[in-house]
Amino acid sequence: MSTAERIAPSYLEEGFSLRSWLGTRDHKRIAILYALGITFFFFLGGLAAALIRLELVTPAGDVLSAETYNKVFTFHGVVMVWFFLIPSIPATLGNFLLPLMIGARDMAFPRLNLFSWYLYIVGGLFTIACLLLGGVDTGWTFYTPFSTMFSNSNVMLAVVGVFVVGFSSIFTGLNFIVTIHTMRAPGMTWFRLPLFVWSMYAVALVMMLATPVLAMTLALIALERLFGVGIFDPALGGDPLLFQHFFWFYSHPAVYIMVLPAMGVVSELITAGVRRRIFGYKFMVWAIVGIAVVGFLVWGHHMFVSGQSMYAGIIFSILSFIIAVPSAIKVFNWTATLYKGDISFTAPLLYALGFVGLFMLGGLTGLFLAATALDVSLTDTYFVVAHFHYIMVGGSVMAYLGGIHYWWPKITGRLYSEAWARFAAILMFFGFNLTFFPQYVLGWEGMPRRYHEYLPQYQVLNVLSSAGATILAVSYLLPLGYLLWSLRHGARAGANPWNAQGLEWTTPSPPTLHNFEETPQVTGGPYAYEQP
Amino acid sequence: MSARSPTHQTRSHRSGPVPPSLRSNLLVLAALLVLLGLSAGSALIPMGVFNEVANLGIAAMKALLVLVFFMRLKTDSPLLRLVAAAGFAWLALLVALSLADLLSRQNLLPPW
Ligand SMILES: [Cu+2]
Repeated sequence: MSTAERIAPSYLEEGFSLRSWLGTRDHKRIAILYALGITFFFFLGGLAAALIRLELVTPAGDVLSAETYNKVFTFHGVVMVWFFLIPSIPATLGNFLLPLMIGARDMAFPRLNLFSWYLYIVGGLFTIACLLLGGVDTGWTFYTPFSTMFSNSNVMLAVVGVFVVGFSSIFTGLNFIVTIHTMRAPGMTWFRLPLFVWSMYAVALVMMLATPVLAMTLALIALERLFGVGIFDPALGGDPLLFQHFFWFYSHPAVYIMVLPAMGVVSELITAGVRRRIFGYKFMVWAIVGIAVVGFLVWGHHMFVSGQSMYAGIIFSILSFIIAVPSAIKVFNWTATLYKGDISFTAPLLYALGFVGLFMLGGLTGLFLAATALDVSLTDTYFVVAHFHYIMVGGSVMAYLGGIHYWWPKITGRLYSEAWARFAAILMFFGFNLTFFPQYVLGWEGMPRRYHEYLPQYQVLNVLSSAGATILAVSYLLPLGYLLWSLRHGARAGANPWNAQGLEWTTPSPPTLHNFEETPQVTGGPYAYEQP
Repeated sequence: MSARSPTHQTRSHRSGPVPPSLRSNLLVLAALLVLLGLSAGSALIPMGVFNEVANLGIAAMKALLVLVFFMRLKTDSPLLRLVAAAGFAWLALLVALSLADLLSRQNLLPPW
């Protein structure tokens, strides 16, 4: 099997011209196009983060002016959320693996898939144009009335960029849903789907149901800013809190757009890494669906101190506590999967274990913030910043990189350097904690977010955080180096280098254009590892 | 009409619903125009808050006509109808929980 007889050339050898890439309808090539895009934006957003951490080394606002600092953290947020995190796992690993995992030849709508990528690029160009023309200073949340009435920066360019990229994720979601419903191989029943596919299904639903509300909200900002239609401005009969309701109706579920795929990836990495069936498969499935649904009901926890009714606050607080239940089920089940497992600390498993620990810290501090009384003093402090970076960077980015390593041999046909990869994974874990754990303490001590200067007593922890950020930066550059190196110098990968279960490993590495020589017949559930 | 309908049938996409006939399309169009007239006309009759009620009711009826006939939910599979209904359920969630805030908001007076 490892020397799978190749009848057709691999998808990478189907054509070498620029046209064969930019006009491709192959889900695997589109995944690569997305990977290039999000890697570019990841390092662009990372540069902004570097500027922020540089400014915060000293208490005085000496590197950046207050106005520039506002623009830098806004750019960091907009780029990382919409141009890296949201498309990261779904558009790259999801696009590449979904058809392979369900035994299909391609996505249901290959052209729409390519169109989504072009929308992503067009949205990105608007965002870069916004940066080049002077940037935007509203924060990634575009809160009114500042964004509609007062800001003199390029709000509209940023809004259009995000509006356009939103449709990219709506179409990706549509494609995933139809593909999973209609293109599963014979015998691939719903409860035989790998958990990664379930997470893609759930995330596609969230994308479809939440993103249109974002598009509408941004359109309303444009209406008010350009034409003075009174929607959010009280002077015109509007309600500024209405904006926050609309915005967070999208943006809290957007957190799950970022983290559900990470959970899917981690489930695959852990089962393969410890050679054990996942503990409580059906519980895991219902937890994914439960998180996707309840994730829509908690948005008001962002508004506890913004003048929202106290009674609404209580409801949103309770609902936010409830969503911790399915999240905890997942953490327990991953841990239980390790029990008596044949654990080999390969790089993908190290990333996955890092994810579990960091996600847990991020999730538990989320409960602090969901408590209405505690939230009053923690709102808009570094505690919030630390909390969501644990979920999004500690969680999603770790899982994304773990997934990239695990499926790298399948995607590229090459093996990366395992020693370097383990080193990078461990370095990343330490760098991450050094960067963000001090921010919990800073927030607890009352340091507010979004200022370029701070009181001198906060300096030690800020210097620690900035030092951690440099380590983190190195640990992100390392994979870029050794993974690219492996493209030319890495050993050739067999069809199944991990000896893992799953339809994607039955195809040659890299797969051919149509994935499977003949449609696979599925006769059992996923993760059929020998049980001890 | 009768000469055209067979080709009409065969051209419909693989598993989708049968497209509505020209007659049904025209009837729905007429109904929509009548409702539009009612909606515009109601502005001339002062009914207080019931103007809004009437207008929202008419808008809902128009939306339903478009969904059921033009978007072919009437003849399509239950799964697709479920998907369309889910979209509305989600919109209802947005409205309901936002109203939970708006309707129970208390005015906090400044302490001075
Ligand atoms: Cu939230």
